[in-house]
Amino acid sequence: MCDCNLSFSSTSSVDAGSYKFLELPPELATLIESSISSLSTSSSSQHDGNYAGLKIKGVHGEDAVLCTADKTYSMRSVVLSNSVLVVTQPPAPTRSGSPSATDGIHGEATVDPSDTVVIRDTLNEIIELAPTVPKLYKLNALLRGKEYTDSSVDEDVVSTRETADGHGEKDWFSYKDALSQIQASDGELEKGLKDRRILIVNGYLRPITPSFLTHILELALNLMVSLSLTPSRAPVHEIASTLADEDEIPLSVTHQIMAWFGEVNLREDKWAADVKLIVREIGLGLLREHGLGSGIENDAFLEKWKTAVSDKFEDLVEMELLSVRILISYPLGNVLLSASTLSAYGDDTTTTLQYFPASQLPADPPARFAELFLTRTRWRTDDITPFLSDIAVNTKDRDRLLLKYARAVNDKDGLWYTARAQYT
Amino acid sequence: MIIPITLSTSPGAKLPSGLAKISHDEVVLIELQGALEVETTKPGEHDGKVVGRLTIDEVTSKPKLMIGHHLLEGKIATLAKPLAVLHRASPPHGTSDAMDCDQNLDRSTVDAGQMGAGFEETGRTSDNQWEIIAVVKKKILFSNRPMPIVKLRG
Repeated sequence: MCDCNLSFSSTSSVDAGSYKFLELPPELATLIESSISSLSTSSSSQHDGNYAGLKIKGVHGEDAVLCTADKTYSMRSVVLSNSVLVVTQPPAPTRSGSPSATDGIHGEATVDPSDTVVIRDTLNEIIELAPTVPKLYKLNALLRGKEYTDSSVDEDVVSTRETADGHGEKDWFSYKDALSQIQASDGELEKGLKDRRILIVNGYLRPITPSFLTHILELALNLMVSLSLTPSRAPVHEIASTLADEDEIPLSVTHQIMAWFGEVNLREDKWAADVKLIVREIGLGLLREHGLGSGIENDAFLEKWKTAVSDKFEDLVEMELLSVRILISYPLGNVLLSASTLSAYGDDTTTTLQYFPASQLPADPPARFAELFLTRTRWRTDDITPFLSDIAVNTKDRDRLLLKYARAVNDKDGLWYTARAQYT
Repeated sequence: MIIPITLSTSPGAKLPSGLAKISHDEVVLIELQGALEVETTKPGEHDGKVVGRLTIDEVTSKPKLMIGHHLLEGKIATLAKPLAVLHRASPPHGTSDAMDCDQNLDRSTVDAGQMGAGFEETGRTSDNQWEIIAVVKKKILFSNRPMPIVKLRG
């Protein structure tokens, strides 16, 4: 039997607005609960209160997101028609702001403190959390003009010197800036930098230009061939220093690129190179020259690609490697291209390749779908899904997007997706 | 801008056992249909004033809340999803007036655009910290209208 007085807290006017409710998805509840229990068992971690690594991120004017170590959640405020009271024991008098004033009322109101519970705050809203994709696309805009090219190799020496003198500081964007400004968890940001091929040079983020990256990778592959190194156990130091001596590529740059394309173990001086990934990147680099409207025939492209990766690795060359990021335009009829391009494809049986990276499409779903359906009027499921993977949290979310922004059409060839609004 | 959310490390005062066993031993949530309306002439006037008497029957676990001549009967309800109760770890200090203006502006723009929550938080200074003081899974729910009591018992 519990029988106690309910009263307003002596600090309720100070407390008002200082409480919030956060509705926890099951996985987040588990994370927080396990963090709390590990906190209470190990007293050594007391100084490290931020145990679960939860952060709210965003700059002024953006929708706030909540980040854990590796996930991002959008925050949405939901207004309740009922009011919810936060009830606790009366706060200890020592903790209240002005002891003399509040203690007086406090003393009058409570006969026996253990018999009283107090209302700290009244809330009318709950913050709902929903998993969302990390907002990494902001990086593209922030890092425009800060690319790392083959001429940056020399530039960097100069710019660091200038910085030491106290001038010449360009408006660079550092990793630290990214952590606070990009609405993504630390884990997702790290992966995002890797996926976008963004180098960290002197603490600043520098996206490497595709042509320079392809160039370095080709050098590395050729080096491995000429020194007859095993790609799974290549010496890190030897490759990096050779590239530095002969091609003036800084060691730190080579090391980061090696980490993107395999596992680097500096202690054992080993690079387990992911040759498939390298071959793919080189292929992408070649394909980049053939954007929409300047397609290349399949066979000609494969030939070019095989030459670029040298004989030793040419077996690895296959179209599937590129599947995520390219649009393969099948023989005419299935694809809408501009008139000039149409005339270029006389032969119906040839497959033409065009570079069409998902990463350069708009991040906003309606704009993304509009762009996709302007490129092609109808898409097969397998063809369109690679272009949606970066704007959907999971397959369920992706199907929701398809349902909302596309129309599924069944005909004798199977299932097609067309635009909801017909642009013809 | 980053606003860290920390977990409470210093244990607060424990609630009486009857309330503590509902969900969390330091915090209990009471949901009322409508709101407690208090007439005050100056802010902070209701600080420390008694609202009513909360009783929880041990056998039936039925909560009752007596406010003046009104009796509320409720139940203990499980929340659809667990709620984390956040508390602002560093309350606004002397400069709060200026910041409150900013905050109000923020809030209106946020509401106008139907944007996500939490920006009233980020509009403030970055030394703002929120602490999870409890994860609560059950609440006391008073969903019925209050019954008038003609004669107080006892």
